[in-house]
Amino acid sequence: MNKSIIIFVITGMMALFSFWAHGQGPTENTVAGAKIIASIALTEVQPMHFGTMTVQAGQGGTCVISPAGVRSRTGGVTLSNLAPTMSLATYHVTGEPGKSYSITLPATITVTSAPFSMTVSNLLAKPASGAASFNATGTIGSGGSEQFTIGATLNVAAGQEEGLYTGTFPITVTYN
Amino acid sequence: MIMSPSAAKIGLELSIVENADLHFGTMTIPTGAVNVTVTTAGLRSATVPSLITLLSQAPVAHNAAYTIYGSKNAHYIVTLPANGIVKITSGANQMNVDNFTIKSTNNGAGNGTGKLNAQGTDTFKIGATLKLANGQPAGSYTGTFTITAAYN
Repeated sequence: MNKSIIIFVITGMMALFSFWAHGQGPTENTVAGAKIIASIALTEVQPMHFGTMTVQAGQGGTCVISPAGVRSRTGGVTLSNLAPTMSLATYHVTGEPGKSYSITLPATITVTSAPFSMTVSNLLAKPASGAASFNATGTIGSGGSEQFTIGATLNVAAGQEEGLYTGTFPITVTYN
Repeated sequence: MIMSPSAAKIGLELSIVENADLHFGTMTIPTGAVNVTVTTAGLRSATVPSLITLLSQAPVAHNAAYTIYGSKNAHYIVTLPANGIVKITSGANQMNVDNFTIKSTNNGAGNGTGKLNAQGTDTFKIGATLKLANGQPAGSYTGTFTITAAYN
């Protein structure tokens, strides 16, 4: 009995010493992390071109290219197969496999054959992995890339002056 | 037996519980050497924003957070890793994590000192700076760092 009391007292004194010596306290190991992914990049595969057409003097119309690449017309527009022929706007996105991204398009594009101009509207992007929409979302494939197409509508006024109309428009892709 | 109450009181050693780890979030491969800092408030920034894009997608950035327990109303101090010690790796690639910062809830001085409340607890947060090389390869980088607490 005496023996056990002595041991207890010594233990207490050790703790007291530790307290006054400001001894080393607890340590804690924490995980630190960061994730770096490849930057998203955009390359044009082929530009948007509505091809060749005529329009009536008294009735305007439209030329539509769907995101699937089908050209159609409305109103006074007649489509021609003469060169230059249509091309479906197509783009190649590269980045981190499996990552979601958004495509930002302008509401309209102006194409000109100075001093005349026309407006392109109703732009629709169609990623290979997603639905067609103005603000489309795609997913970069397992190989680190994906393609998307852009459909649009060219608005042709009645008696629109003949000419080769050109313009440029911005496209932005960003990770979601 | 007289020593008993005194010994019990001294026996309240400090302990730390981690509530959140430290993460610098998702970012693109930098086009130049750049530092990315996560503050004790969880705010993330790059020294040269034009060199890197900080993305909001998961995994997201956050500061580390802890609860510390000990004697009521006692003062404590937390020792952070020195610069050049902590590295996070992804395969053969690595980055240094330096300039650790700390902020305790009961003492916002930011020097690592704090005071336990009347119930013997406090919380504190830790941030740090990630040092990326030009073209730092893509990957999920992880590592660990060690902090130590003591009565002050």
